[in-house]
Amino acid sequence: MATYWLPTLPDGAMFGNRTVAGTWTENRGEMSTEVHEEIIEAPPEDVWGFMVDPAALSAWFGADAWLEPEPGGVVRFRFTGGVERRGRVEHVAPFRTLTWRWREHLGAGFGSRIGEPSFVTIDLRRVPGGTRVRITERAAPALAEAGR
Amino acid sequence: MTARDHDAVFQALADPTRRTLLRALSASGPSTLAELSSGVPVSRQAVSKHLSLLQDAGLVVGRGEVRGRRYELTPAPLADALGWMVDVGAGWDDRLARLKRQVEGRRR
Repeated sequence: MATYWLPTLPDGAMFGNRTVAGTWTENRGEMSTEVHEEIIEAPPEDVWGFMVDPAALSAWFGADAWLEPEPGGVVRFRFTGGVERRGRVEHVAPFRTLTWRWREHLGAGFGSRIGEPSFVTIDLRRVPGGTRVRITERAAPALAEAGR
Repeated sequence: MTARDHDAVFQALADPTRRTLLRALSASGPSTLAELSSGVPVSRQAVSKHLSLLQDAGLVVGRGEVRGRRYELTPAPLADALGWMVDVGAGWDDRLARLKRQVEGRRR
């Protein structure tokens, strides 16, 4: 899979009808956005099942995953080594889009560490031959984290 | 730990005799060249060379005078290399590749 470093373009301008798989990073000031794409030879309905079924999600994610696919639903990924990433579902459009906000939690109590929050969006789009899966991760405003 | 250090560790692990020596050191604790040589079907000279390479990789340390020197396992570089292997596969590209394999695999 190729990695691209693209200059900043207006929202939406860079994607167009692009259907090739790849990875790139956009930089807008301090905020960095990672974009990863893959074409999967299956309809979006099939791929969606791998997003919302915790066992299937765990298998491809490489972490013990729990995700409640509804706005405000709990998202939790337990990785090997005691790292956990957790947060809330922000947006769900079945068979199309899933967005959650998460941050890293390492340890508990004194000495625990909490990472910077970010948004993860998984976008499925039907393309000839299957589904284009695009995963975008971008920094989330820390202010809105209060109370989470 | 740098990529170069990982090279040495993985190179050290690539040989079955060296893996046997590591396992013996792990099971029996500090051992002499003679003790280690008795457990593998190669010459003492060859074992000495393997131990030298394991020392270069930081996996083994020799203590004491040349005569009666005892070799000891120092597993920290192994843990670092394991951490590196766990990190590989934790990125989005690796996840997407697994998702593709799993979705498409289920349909066949």
